[in-house]
Amino acid sequence: MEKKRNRLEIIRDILNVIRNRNGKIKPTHILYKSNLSHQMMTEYLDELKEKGFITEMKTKQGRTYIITEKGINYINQYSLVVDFANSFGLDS
Amino acid sequence: MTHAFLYNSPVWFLGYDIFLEVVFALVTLAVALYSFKIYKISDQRESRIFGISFLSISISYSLWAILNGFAVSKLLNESYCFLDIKSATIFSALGIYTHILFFLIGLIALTYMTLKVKSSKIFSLIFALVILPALLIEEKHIVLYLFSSVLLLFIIAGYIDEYRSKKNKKVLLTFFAFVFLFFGRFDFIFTKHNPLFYVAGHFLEMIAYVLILISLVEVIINKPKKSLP
Repeated sequence: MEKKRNRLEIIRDILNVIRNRNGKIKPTHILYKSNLSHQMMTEYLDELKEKGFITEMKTKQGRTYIITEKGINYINQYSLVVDFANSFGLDS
Repeated sequence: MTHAFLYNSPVWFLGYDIFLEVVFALVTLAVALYSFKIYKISDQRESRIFGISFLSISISYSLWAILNGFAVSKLLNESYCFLDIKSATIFSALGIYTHILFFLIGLIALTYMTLKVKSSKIFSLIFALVILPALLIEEKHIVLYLFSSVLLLFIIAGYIDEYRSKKNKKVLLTFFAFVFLFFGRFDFIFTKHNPLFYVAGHFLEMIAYVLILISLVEVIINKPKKSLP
């Protein structure tokens, strides 16, 4: 059975999904690829917007999410964040 | 013996204590700065609280070292008189009080973090319950050390929970560091009865900060590997 993902992992997975789609994605694709409920996904997307990891663009075709430099930096430095959180017992 | 009485420290240990306090200040500052770096990357609330608490602890050791340094310099003055001894006593006492006060603020933030709650009311309550009595009670020295020991016990319990729930072995070093810090703080309570407790307290804290430094160095050495797309 797969281990339950923690918050840091879920954030990394969502950002990876966006990055792998050339940095732009529609929410339905995130929902499909990130393996989250709709409510959970909305909460995470709001959090990611608030943190500046992604931006939201509204078009006639609907909403699109774009990964920012900060979001890419998070993916690149992810192992450092996890190592620090694990070593010092920060809630991850 | 006057020196021993003033500092609760054996004469031979004067100066070594200041050196250790500077080392503790630098180690905790390094942890705080790294924590802020992690916060900048992840925007993770816990890393900000962790950074603030270690920064406060670093300030506490810095103030202790500086004020202890002033006190020692007064006593090393060859022509020292009654006024020098008096001001040395004031600097020494001020050093201990400001140190413990900032140390407590750091521990309150850490305790709040380990409680895993998000409420400014709870933080204010812990803050008021710890700081107000510490400021008002006459036997400040003992009370402040006692409060920091109690807060350290809560933090240790938090690390035990962390280990048990996530089977996270990496956290064990930090857990033992806080155990040594607890015994170090508890030990300081008895410095009035025997100055050797002051030495033992510094020694125990040194072990604690060596463990924390090892944890930090391990994180830095395990450099970020770029995650694959």
